[in-house]
Amino acid sequence: MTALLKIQNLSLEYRRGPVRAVRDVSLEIHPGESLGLAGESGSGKSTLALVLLRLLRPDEARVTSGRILFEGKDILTLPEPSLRALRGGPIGMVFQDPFSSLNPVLTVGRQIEEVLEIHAGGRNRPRALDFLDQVRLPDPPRIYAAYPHQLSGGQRQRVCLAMAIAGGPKLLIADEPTTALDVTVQREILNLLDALRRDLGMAMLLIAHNIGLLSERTDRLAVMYAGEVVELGPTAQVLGAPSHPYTQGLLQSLPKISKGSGRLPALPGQPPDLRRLPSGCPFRPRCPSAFDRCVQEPPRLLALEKSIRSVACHLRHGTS
Amino acid sequence: MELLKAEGLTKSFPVEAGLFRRAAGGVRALDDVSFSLEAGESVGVVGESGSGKTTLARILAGFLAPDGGKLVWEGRPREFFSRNAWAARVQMIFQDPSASLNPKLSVQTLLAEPLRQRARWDGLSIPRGPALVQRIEEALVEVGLAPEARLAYPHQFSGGQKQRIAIARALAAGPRLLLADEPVSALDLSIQAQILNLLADLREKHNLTMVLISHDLTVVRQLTDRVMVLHQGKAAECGPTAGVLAAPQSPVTQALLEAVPAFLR
Repeated sequence: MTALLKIQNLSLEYRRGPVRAVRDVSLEIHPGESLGLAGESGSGKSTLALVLLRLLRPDEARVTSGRILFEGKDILTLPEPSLRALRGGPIGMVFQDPFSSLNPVLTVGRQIEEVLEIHAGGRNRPRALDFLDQVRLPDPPRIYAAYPHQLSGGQRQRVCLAMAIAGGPKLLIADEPTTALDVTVQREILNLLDALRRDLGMAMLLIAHNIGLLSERTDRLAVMYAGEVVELGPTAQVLGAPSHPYTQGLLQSLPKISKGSGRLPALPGQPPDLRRLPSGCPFRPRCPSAFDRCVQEPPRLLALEKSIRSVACHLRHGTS
Repeated sequence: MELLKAEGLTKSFPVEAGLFRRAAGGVRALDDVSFSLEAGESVGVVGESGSGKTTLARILAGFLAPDGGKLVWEGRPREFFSRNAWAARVQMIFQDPSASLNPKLSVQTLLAEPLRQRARWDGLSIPRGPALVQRIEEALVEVGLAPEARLAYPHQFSGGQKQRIAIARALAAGPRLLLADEPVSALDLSIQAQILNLLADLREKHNLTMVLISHDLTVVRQLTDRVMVLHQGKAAECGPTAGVLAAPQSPVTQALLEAVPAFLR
């Protein structure tokens, strides 16, 4: 199967610092697939989401190497008009804060119809109402006429989703789409995202700092640390039997309902300062199993033997 | 021994509407909530936003006065205590340590004030000079920071380190009750366990009573003996944490539990 989106050896740095926020990342998303991207602050996951649509200002950040191919075309070299046709159309986006993604002075209906005008051949009230219905908002005509401030946080995020699917996306990028919402609303929105993805046959890149959120809604999971993908594989396998010491340590440290109280096996230290990365493996200073080679040579993300999983760790790749 | 007792706590906030902010009724943030805290125990307060959990914490901290009901500390009503006397007993840490630490003050200054206040309160000589520095350094080491951290400013620390400073500052006042409002929600996942362990250690070392406010049942399970689930200002369910989470009775608790991903249950 050919990939819908193919990120090849992408590296990016912010000019201030400079901070190498994304380092040699390669990822593929296949049509209809749901890929989870987990990472802490500074791991590069949100930078990656922004650069996929070239939403970073050139005076702020620059791509130092790599390509981002969407249906074979390199997003990084696309002229501005083609890029605008892509954003909100074939590639939809949903962000953390639904309030700042919506225009406060326009009604919900008007904003959805604007998407239809740009990406679907013209304004159309019945279709706009249909999209509000598809995201399971009650009483679509009332929501259609409402302004964003009249809606709850969960309703606003549903409106953002309606706008995204109105553009007919093949890929939906959702960056922390539920972080600002209540836990039970979070679950509703995740269920909705999942149902829409299946119904509309779109692929999804779901980005979250909370690895738990990604556990039930993604086919594959990529774990980022210090700007690199350190582990990649089917979600159930990565969470069930993590291979990278970071993923292992992180999952062990999480409190669980069944675990009860008592001390947690916490990961020592803290995520590295991207301006002062250690030599070799960026996780080395926190790693319980680090050895000589981890100081000298940065590990590369390589496939595990006889597996569809990959991991960037010298422990897993012998002495080749 | 009973440390604190709350009886029928009620608090409403006015709701304003329209251009001229007319009063348009009120919202009951807290509606007849009662409980008691035994010295040394840890109690979780769980609920969604709007459940009243933060209002309850702010009343316990003394930041907010209830409209009705009463708070009793070791047999004496809340009104018996001055603001400073209450602060010497009850301290609070918050979700976002960046917002709760004054960025213009060095760590040393942030810790010196509660330490002096405490000495004044205990009728001891107020620490100055090298003695004060020593107390500050001890407080920092206790929360896992280097003694030299006293010379730095909040922005020079990571989120987890800032939360450690906030904890040190709260403990410097010598409280017997520590209120923790979502103490790890804003922190990186790999740092959360460190801070949860620190809170558990400090609680044991100082025999602290703790009220943990959180929406995250895994954190509540980790840190508390008993739990109260709030919904629309009312207590929906109370009981030992292990029992409530093993067999939740209220639909509110059940919904919160279902929101926990399967591999964290």
